Amino acid sequence: MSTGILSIGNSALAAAYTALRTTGNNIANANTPGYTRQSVVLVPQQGTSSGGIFLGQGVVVADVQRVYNAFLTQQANQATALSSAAEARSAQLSQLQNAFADPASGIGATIDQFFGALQELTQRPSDPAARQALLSAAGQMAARFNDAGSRVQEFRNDNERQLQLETVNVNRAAQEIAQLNDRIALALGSGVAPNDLLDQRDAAIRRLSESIQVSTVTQSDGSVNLFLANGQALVVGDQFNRVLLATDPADPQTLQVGVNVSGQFRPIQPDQIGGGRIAGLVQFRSEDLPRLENELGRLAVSLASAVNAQHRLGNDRNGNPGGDFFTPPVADAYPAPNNGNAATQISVSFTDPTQLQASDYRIRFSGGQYTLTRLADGAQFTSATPAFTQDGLSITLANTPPADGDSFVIQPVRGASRDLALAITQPSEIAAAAPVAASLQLTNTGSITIDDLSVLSPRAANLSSPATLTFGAGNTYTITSGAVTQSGTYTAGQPISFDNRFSITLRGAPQAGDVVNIGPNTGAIGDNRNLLKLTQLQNAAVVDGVSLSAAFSTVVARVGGDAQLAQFADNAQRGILDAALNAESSVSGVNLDEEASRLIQYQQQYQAAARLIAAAKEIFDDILSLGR
Amino acid sequence: MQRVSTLMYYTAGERAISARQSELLAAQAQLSSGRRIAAPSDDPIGAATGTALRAGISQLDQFKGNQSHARFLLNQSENSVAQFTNTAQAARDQLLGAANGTNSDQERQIFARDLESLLAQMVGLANAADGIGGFLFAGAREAAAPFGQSGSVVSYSGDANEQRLEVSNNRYVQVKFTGDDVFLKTRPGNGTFTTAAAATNTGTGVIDPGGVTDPSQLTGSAYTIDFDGTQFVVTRASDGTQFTFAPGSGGTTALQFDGLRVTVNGAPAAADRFTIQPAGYQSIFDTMAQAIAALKTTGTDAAARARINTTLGGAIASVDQALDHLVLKRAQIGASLAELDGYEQLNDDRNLEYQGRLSAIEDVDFAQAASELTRRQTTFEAAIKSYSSISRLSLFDFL
Repeated sequence: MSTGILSIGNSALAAAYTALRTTGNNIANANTPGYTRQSVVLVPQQGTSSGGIFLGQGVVVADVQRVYNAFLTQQANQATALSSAAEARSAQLSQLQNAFADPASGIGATIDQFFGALQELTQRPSDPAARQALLSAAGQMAARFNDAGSRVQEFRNDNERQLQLETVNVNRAAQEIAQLNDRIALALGSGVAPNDLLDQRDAAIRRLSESIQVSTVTQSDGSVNLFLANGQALVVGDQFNRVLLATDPADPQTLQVGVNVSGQFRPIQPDQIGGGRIAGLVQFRSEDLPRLENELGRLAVSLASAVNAQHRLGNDRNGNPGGDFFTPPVADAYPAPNNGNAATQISVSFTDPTQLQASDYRIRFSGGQYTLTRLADGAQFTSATPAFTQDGLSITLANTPPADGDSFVIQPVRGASRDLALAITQPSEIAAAAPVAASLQLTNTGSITIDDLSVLSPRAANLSSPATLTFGAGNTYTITSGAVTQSGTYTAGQPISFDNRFSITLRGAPQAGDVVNIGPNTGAIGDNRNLLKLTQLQNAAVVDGVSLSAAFSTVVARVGGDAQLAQFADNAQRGILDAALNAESSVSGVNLDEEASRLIQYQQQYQAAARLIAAAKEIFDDILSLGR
Repeated sequence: MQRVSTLMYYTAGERAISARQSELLAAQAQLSSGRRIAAPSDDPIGAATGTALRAGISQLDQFKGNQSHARFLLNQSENSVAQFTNTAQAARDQLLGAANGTNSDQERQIFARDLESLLAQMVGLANAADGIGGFLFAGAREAAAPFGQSGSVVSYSGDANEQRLEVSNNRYVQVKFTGDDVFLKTRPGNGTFTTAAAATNTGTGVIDPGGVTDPSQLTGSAYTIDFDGTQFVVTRASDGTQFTFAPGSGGTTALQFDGLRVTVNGAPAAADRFTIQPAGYQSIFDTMAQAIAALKTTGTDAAARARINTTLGGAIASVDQALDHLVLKRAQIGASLAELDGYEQLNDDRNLEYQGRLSAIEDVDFAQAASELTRRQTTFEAAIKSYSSISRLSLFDFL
């Protein structure tokens, strides 16, 4: 009889001991991230019936369970992925904006300084010091554009390094999960719940979610299969596929994230990565960086082209026609490396730099038709012939037709910021003067005066012989320059254009025989007329309908706005993540106060069980003493 | 009721405290830097507006520089033209004295020498330097002094390029006046035509510079006036049309035709000839040279005196035209300066306005920022105090 009590006491002692151990383990892991609290499941020991009475046999520990809610954990995984993506992109954008928007030394300030130096030179066009100052200001502006271009490249390199690290993380976690799957399946097969292994696997999935978004499907054997947001399997049972980075075969400058499935690289589209730091990094790389690069590049191309065009209309200090001020920007374009017909070549030139869009383009040949896609907004233009004139670009293909499905990449302004450079090196090469000058003949008796003389094209610089405008009777005039003659009737204040060289505006009343001479502008080192035209570019609509400074402030607003929105998104996702983690933790986390009360509870049970054994011993002793 | 896990409690508390702390730091950074926008993301539109305003201010600064340079040049030009006008006035006075018909050859020589020295002074003034390495009246050819003198012949090597500067957005002010415009483009005679006596004249007839009576009838043609002993025959050179006039009483004949009028005083001899030429441009230097040449002509007979007096009369009229022209140029310089006054005012007003707007966008409102800092300080204190006091509670303390 007392053996019954003893065995009940023993079972109670063992149960209390197990419960105390479990509580102790919970307390020990109270601060372990990813730890799921455990609780003991106690069931009464199957009783025996003796003489119609059913007697309990004590207690058994049926199981030590993880207190776990699979749905909440999945939700926390998703929230982790989205929050990591937002955080990664926000961090990159915040750094990016700081690199470009310094009001004192940024691109905007150097553009202002360049035009300031131009204005300064209009005061004393012959002063070598003022000319040198303009060259320095222009050089600094170009250097700032170059800096910005190489900073973008640095961001791209840094982004690639981070992506490499992330793929290492993903592969390590995927491998760990696959191995854990194996061990968990094995343990479950032998009927044991491997709580710590399950915790380890959940932690690995959480770490993985920080890098890339996955969804989980639990199998009947306890293993978990992981799928990426695009449906691609990452972990199946004890097998896993590696995530890799590779260059896009259609565009060697683009990096693709993909999965290596049995030796084959399967790329994931940037918008299908879903979440995780990889998603944020890829979005930054494929959207934010190119856009900034294209906007800065467009600014550089518009600026250089506008300044060059006007500069070529002037004469330099030595009376020679002005050349390019900046090295002429070159549009980048190349055929995709995997094209079927490698002979087809593409060439792109700028026809109207004021119309440029801050975007890359792609041409695809399919079904006998060429389709030009503007990548920034997806606008498409089709043509049956291999030539496009679009957005200020002239695009032509040579050695056509390409193979069906061939494509061509056009990056008209991408590298322009990095490549902006001065074409002139000597202060004397600045074309400050106009190439032609007009004067009234001293014998004029009429009251004609010269109001304006504008240069129409670089042809003005090589007038074969000075032009003579002679008035005849009744306000008629004849302009003669070598063999070229042009006649007309004069109206005061009305510009008279000649031979696409110059346009002259006269006022007053002419007398027959009055003469205006228009000739090469020799020795005019103090002439600032071309400089005055150059300074007008500061407020002229040279960048898609707006001025340079307005275009630059739009870039600032864009970069700042992107960074701000990314911060908002980051904060919002962080809030969602906190809520998900709280929900998960409220089920699975350890509460020390709770454990303290359990401790009291099981300690008391233990003491009572011990007391029971003592009682059994006393009973046994009593019985023994009866026999004495 | 939601269970609260201990780990969650600590993490949440820690996160809340660090969030409050970073808010507090942001407020403190605003106050210490004085800048409301530390990065464009703080206010993208504000940052962009700030960039545009800064570009505007930089341009206004440049306009200010141009304005002061314009003023510098215009003041010098004004001064030089004023001095030149005084010299021309002195030359006119000399010419008036010289035109007295009773002067001897010797007396005229003295006048000639005086005029030569005045001419040299005029050339000197017209070659005035601009104070920055160039010349005020050379146009764009500032490498060398624009006026050269050889004997009494003055040549101009400058050009007609009038330097302008942008002194306000798209507003240009002429800051340099060329020698061509100021000294060369003057009309001789009465401004419309010049009169002269033929060198072969033997009578004492002196033709005056004449004048315009009806501008609408002017033909722009040259004329010859021949005295055939009984009457004056005027021939219009362009088509040969002739007008005849009888000599007037008292030795004064007024000839009026084609909207103009000239007067011949004295007694011309038969076959004496006078000419009328439409006025082209004649520099004041050339006028002076003509007068000097006339004064140096010897001969005290009545006919010679008459020819000299005709020339001097024409020269005085030409100098008067030149003086009028100089007054006009001074007025133009003055107008440029007056225009500058307006633009300087406009520029300063706009600069003030831009600075104000920039400050409103980028600078911290200190009162607001300070109260914000205090508010965040209170929140932060509440967070750390509540966290530390609650985290001290544990059931284990009571076991």
